[in-house]
Amino acid sequence: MNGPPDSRDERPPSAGDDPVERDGAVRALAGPDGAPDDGGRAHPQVDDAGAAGGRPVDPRTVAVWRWVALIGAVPVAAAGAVFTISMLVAGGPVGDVLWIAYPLLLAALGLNAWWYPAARYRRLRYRLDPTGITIMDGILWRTESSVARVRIQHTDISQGPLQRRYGVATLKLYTAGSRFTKIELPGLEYGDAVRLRDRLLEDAEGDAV
Amino acid sequence: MPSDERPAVSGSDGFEPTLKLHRISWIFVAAHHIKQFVFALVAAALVGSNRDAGLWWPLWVVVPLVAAAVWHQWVFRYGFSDRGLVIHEGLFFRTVRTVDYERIENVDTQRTVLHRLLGVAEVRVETSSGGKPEALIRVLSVADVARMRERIFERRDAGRAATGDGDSQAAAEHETLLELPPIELVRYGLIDNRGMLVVAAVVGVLVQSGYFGDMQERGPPPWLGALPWESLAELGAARPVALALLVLVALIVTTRVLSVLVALVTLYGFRLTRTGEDLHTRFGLLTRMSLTLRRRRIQAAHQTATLLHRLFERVSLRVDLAGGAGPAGGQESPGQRTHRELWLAPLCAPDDAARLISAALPQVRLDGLEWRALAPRARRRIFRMMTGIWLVVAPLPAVSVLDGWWALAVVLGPLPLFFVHATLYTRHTGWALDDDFFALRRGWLTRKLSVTPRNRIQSVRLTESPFDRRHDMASIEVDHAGAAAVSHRLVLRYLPRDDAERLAEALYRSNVGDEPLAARERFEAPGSSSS
Repeated sequence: MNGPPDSRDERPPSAGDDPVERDGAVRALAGPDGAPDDGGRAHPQVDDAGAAGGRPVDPRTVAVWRWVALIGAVPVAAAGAVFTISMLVAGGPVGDVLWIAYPLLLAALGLNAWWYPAARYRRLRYRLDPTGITIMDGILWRTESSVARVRIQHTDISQGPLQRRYGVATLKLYTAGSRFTKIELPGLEYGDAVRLRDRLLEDAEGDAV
Repeated sequence: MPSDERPAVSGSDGFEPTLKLHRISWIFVAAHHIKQFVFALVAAALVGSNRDAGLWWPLWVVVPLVAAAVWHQWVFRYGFSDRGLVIHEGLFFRTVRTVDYERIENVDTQRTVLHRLLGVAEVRVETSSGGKPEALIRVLSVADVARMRERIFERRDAGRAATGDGDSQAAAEHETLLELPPIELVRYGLIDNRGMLVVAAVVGVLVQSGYFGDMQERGPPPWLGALPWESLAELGAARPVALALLVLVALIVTTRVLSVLVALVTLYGFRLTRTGEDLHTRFGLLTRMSLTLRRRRIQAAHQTATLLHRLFERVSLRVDLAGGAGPAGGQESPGQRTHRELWLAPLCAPDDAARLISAALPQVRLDGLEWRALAPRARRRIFRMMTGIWLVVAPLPAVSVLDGWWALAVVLGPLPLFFVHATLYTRHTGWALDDDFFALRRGWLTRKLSVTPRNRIQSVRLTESPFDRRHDMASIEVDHAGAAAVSHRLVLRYLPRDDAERLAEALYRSNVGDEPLAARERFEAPGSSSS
């Protein structure tokens, strides 16, 4: 089991060791701007520089996700521990199975809290272009959602307590669709989220008139 | 209601509506509210076996509801101001609502038998804002509804003509696009399996009421004894099989007969007409529906052809409307849900389908489309996937129940079927991209064809599963407003990844420059129509 994540020191996972990169072409494009450094935080702009791979979000969001996963894991681990101990005390075959299963559960929770946020961060990209925005997300099931500016009904920028602590925010885009009425881009630096929203909205106004 | 109590939120022009509801409105309002409690009341009446309290307590619910309905009728006022339809209502909190004439899309009516006996109608004033109707007026006399329609549409079209949004010049045109005679409805009933629902409901009620439980004590009902059991006995060993077949046939016949009856009642006299830019459907024997499908609100059209459809050489056509049919209206009564089945044609000949779809979506021309196929390896992948799942799931139960060659036959038997399915599925699934619209078709047993204009697409999502990545494939889902049924999602799986990416890109780009003004206007939030 991992200890509490060393979230303060913003350890950015580098894109180079990405084990799940799609193919060579994308790796090559993602390489130069894929490794985020703390100083040059990605400012959303309408440009083609990061167009193919898209821009990463703020690396501090990894810490937020790790904390969230850890907090969520505590009750599960506790319940599992109580169940395991009670079964071991009672004896029987169930206890023998749990003796193996419980460490596996802990390992899964640890993986979920430690590896998953970093891996998701590496996959999560967004790309702003004159038409609208495309958001790439997901590790196993990878999605690429595209919304045109003119389709955005309204937007929200939300910040949970942990997100506030780390200065990141979630940008939510609402459309008039039926299934993907809300499209979320988590983990943006708060100022970036505001700027991104403003760009999306102001240009939509320009198009509409 | 003191008349000097003028609400602070009254319209800026100080308009005070004076028209009232029909004088028997309270019956319908009360009936509507009581309907919400009817299951609780019935359940309580069934469960509550102690008669002394059980019989009277529903009055505690019913009497206040009736009082509230009477009060509602007393307070409710509507009228036609210069700007729009003004409605005053409210029991304790007065609300004043102004629905601008220009935003009003439909004035739909719904009439049950009771409505028709009393010469009244329930009116829904719909705007493009989505979700439930902007105003529901329960109930007005038929003459009042006609007057309301006249006034609203007259002013709306005048207003639109003034702002240059001219669809009023075409208002005079009127044509009937489709009429369904009773024989078509019989066909529809045979194809549709709605009778199944009726049977299920009856069985459910019987089980609930303990009918089957009592049967064990009472023995079989007398009519069962009248059946020719002796002739069955002669069958000997084949008797259980024959009995099962008999029950199956009886069940199928019953459900189909019920389906035909349901179809005849609900869709009686179905007629699709076009007046200018509006499509109208009217149908129903007992509950008469009158719906308006405004063309610019139609987001997609779906054509369905099941095996039975093809046997009768027919297809069914549905449309998705922005606003009217979204999942936002989830908490509606069952009567309104049938309202949500937005038929363009419950049944029509395949040759008519293209014509009707073009009537609903003028930019769509289905003939001469260049259909694109799925990935070349899609067939192999589907076959392997089904085989893999089957070989994981099937052997253990098969071996435990059967032995030797039978088990092997059960395990390996379906594999040719999987192959046939994979072959036919890939052959009948594909997509086509026109300058103005996107079409996709899928399935071979039940064939579905969906079309959506590209300027109605809200967002596009490309998904790669781990299996997709192994086969260099991807799937695409297109989202549009008002998609009602999950079975009509615009999803396309097993595309070559290059195709999928290019298609997603094209669909995403197609929003730009394609009448963005109209697009925004169509989905404008309520209350922001000042321009």
